[in-house]
Amino acid sequence: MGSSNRKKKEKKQDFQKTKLKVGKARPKNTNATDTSFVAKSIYIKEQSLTEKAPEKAVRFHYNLSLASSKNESQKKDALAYLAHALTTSRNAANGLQDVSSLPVSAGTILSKTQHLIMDENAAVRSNLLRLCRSIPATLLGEQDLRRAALQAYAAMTHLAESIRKDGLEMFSWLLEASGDAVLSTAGTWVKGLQTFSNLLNWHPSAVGTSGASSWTSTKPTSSKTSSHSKLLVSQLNTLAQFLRTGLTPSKTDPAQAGHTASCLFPLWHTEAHIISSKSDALSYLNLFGAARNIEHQAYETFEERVAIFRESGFLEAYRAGVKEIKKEGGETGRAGSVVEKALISSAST
Amino acid sequence: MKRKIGALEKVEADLPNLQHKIRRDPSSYKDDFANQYSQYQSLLSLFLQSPTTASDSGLVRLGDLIDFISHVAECYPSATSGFASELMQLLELERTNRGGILDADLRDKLVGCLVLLRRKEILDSVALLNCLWPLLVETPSKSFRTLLFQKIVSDLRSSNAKSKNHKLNRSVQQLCYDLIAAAPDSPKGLWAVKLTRELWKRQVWTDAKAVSIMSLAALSENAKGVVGGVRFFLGGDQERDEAAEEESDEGDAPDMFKLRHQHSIKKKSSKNEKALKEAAKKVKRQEKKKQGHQQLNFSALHLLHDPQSFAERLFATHLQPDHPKVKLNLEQKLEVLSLVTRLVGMHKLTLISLYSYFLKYLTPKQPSVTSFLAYLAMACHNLVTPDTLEPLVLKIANEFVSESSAGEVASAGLNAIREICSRQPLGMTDTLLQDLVQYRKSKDKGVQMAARGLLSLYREHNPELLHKRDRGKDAALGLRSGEKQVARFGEVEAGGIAGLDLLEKYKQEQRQLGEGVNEEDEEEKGWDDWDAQSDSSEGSEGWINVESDGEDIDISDSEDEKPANKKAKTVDEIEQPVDLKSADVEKEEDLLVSKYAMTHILTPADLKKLHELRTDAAITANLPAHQRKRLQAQQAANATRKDQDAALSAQDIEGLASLSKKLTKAEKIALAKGDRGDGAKTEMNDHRSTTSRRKDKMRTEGKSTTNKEKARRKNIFMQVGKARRKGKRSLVEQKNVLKAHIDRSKKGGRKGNRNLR
Repeated sequence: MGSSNRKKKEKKQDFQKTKLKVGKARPKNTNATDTSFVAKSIYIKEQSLTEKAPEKAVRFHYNLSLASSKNESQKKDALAYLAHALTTSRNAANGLQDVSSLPVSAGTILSKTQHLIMDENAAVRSNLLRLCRSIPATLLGEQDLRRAALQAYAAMTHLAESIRKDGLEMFSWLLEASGDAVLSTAGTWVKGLQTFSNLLNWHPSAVGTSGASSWTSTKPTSSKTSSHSKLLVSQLNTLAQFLRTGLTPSKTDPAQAGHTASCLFPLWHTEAHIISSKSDALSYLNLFGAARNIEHQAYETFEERVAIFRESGFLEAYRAGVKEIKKEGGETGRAGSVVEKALISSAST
Repeated sequence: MKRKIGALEKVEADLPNLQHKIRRDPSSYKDDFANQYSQYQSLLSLFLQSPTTASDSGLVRLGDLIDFISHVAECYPSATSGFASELMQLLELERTNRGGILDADLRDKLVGCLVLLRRKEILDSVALLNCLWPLLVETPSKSFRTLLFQKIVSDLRSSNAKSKNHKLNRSVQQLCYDLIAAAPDSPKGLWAVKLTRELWKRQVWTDAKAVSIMSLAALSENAKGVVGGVRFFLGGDQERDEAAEEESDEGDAPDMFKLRHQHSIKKKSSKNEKALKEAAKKVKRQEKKKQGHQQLNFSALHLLHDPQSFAERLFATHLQPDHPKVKLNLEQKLEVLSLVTRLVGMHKLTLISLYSYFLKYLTPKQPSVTSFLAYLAMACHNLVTPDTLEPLVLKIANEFVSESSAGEVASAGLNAIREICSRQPLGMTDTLLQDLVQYRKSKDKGVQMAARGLLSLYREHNPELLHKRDRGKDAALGLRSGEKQVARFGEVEAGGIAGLDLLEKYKQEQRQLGEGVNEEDEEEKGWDDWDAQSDSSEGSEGWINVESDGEDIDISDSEDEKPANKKAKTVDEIEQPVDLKSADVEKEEDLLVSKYAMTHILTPADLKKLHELRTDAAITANLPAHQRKRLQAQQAANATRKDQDAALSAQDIEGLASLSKKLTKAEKIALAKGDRGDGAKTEMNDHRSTTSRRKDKMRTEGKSTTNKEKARRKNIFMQVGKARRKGKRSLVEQKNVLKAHIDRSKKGGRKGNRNLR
């Protein structure tokens, strides 16, 4: 049975167990993948060398595009370069912002790089914060500010604590740089209040229903680790800053105001009649966007903000929360009292 | 000391991790969820502000968050109440913006999440389908369309799985209908056609509304829609039956006999026992399912509303005009024509202009003329006037059937004429028939057989048209005795139930075996009961009176002595199907065949018995096996042919055309080797012995052969040693061997049949 025997054997072979022997390499699995090949790559024999370095504007654009690269170090370096370029241009103009020296508008730079605040790499994030601080905030349009604020809110609620912290820093930079302008854009004020109440677990609804009476409920603030308490402190500080900016009238220099008024003496409310300096002057009308609810509404003046702060129950919730926080004492308690001051100032106005 | 980091504090703390924890304990992780939800909202409003310039990483993050939230949405119903509508708004945005704004991955993810929410009952089917359907119709991306289509179909199937969700079906069917009705010339209607066909195949939609969608599509002004609709009518039901068959085949029931046997041999363990019980349960379940699966599914052609106007409009829009609105190529036109003729043949419609339309296509040079011939035959039925058919038959005879034309052409023509005449025998004149019948003397085998077919057809239907010498014995005798009457135009034979006489005979035998109860008494007793009950319903009595009048007319000549009260009895039996048994008893001996069905209501048991008797009668047990088999096959073929309402194809017309062609040597060799021209292997023309064929089959199936066969195939080297030794045996050994041989033969071989003696 010559041929049929061979065939039988071949058939059987598939179902036989391969024997393992001591001292011999284990036979390869039938489904093992061969990984011995070498990846093909492109080699460039010569570097492209030129006499002079590319122009500043070109390099700026190049680095801006590198900011959305996938490589961490590239991102980091690009951000560092951008920050450097911005500060030097500012210095060259002796403190006065030289708009013409920037090849791209400040808003574009921010909108192209801001998503890196949620990057996994800490160095990238810190470079981004540096870049932010070097951006001339007065040049940012309303839309840019709004986008940046939303990005900061997103980062503040990220799962990772370090990202949350950087998000807080970015937000506080926004408040510092152009506080009133940020909070007067659509959707930032109430959204910010909600974010903080989520972060600190100070919910307006909880105050109304169960109050602070549920003493058995675990207090997330005290039970967590030291790094968490640090985060909590910075959250409280930023909240205090946020409330101060949002709930108090923006300071205008009375002397300066009087001077301008005297210059334009017969005219009254001039700024209402001249062409607006903002990019999107009629944005409050919301001509093209979706219908807005309370959350997405724009609250332009501080009176409106105070009103909504009280109406939707945030004031109560925050007061109750601060009371709890202050009981903890220490650094956290001190930060709590700062928030309380901000709250009191808002109540007085 | 290094501090231990909590799971959620790490940078790589991921959403799946949190999702897992939330699943286990939703209330504890409420804050974490709230944070993620607010992050999602921030990212969403960021995206909505400038959808086109959003960064990749932001989009990925948004997608992850959407995925995460939809997975845990059921844990926090109040917090996520607006989530589904936000996702649907995003998709709406994608639809309204030309070219789409969403990234392909995000888009697919959104659809997947919506379906997930539907499965979690957060979203209802109607809302989901209202969101997905317009997307499917409008999106330019092919992969997205396939995804959407698949999701829509699976959602509809799952919501119709337990019981029909009529409300949902109606709304989706309305969507489909509106899509085609609103813009008959747009190619978007194809999606309605596709969806309907798929759901028809899956038996989700089986109602007239689905059919009306397809009929609308067939009359639309887009070629793809037209072809889709027409193909549905031609093949949709077949496809459905095949799918159902496949489904029932899928779960093969375990062989219980084998399992029980194995169980009796194998080691007894509780595990094995459990497996056996499971298998038994499975078998039972499947049997139940098989018996319970008696869905009454009408074919699409039968559910069609007003087939006459549908056929007329199909013909008038697509076939008749010289420059129709929809340009169809020949193949597509043939499909439409096939549908029209099928409808005409099936519902016996009158569409006079259809027959003259055929005239110009009936030439041998017309491409795919056999299909035209087949469709012409399909369009014929006994209500078509003979004078519309005569010119067609004449034209076919003139164009196709002549001595000078090729064998295939002539046989196709003759076959076509036979098919036409089998449906309307009056469409033939005697001179033409006598001419055509002459071709049975042709040398060409195909032509010969086609002509014989025609001859035998007319021997049966109208032998008077034939020459006397061609009529044959039966027909001639029938004519002389006056039995063979030519059916007149429009004459309808009194309908009967096949095999009813057999049932009647059977019942009679049963009765004779059964009892000697006085029939007259029994009859009268039954009478009294029924009379009282029949008084209650007067309306139905009026209806029955009409029928019993007809009965009188039918059989007045044969049954004069019938008692007058018979009529009333019929009434009562119809009202009282329960008392059938006693009704059987009192049946008179001399009832006609058709009478039985008129006086009795056949119970399901009766019908079953009837079927049994019919098959029994067909298989005459004394026939040899091969003849019986052939008879059965023939019957089955006949039955299927009738079932399909005589769908005729070009192959039927071509018939035995292959016989007309003289084969070359190479072709003959190929045939002998068992492969057909189209590459498929056949067993028919395999010129090997049945034994060798059987052996080959056994071997391919991996079954064992006989010992004899094994001995024959045994390797020579295994026998060499034995053979060598054989020569060197001593005398004593030799003697012993011989003795043993004789002994063995006395016993009856090596195995021995001693036990029998």
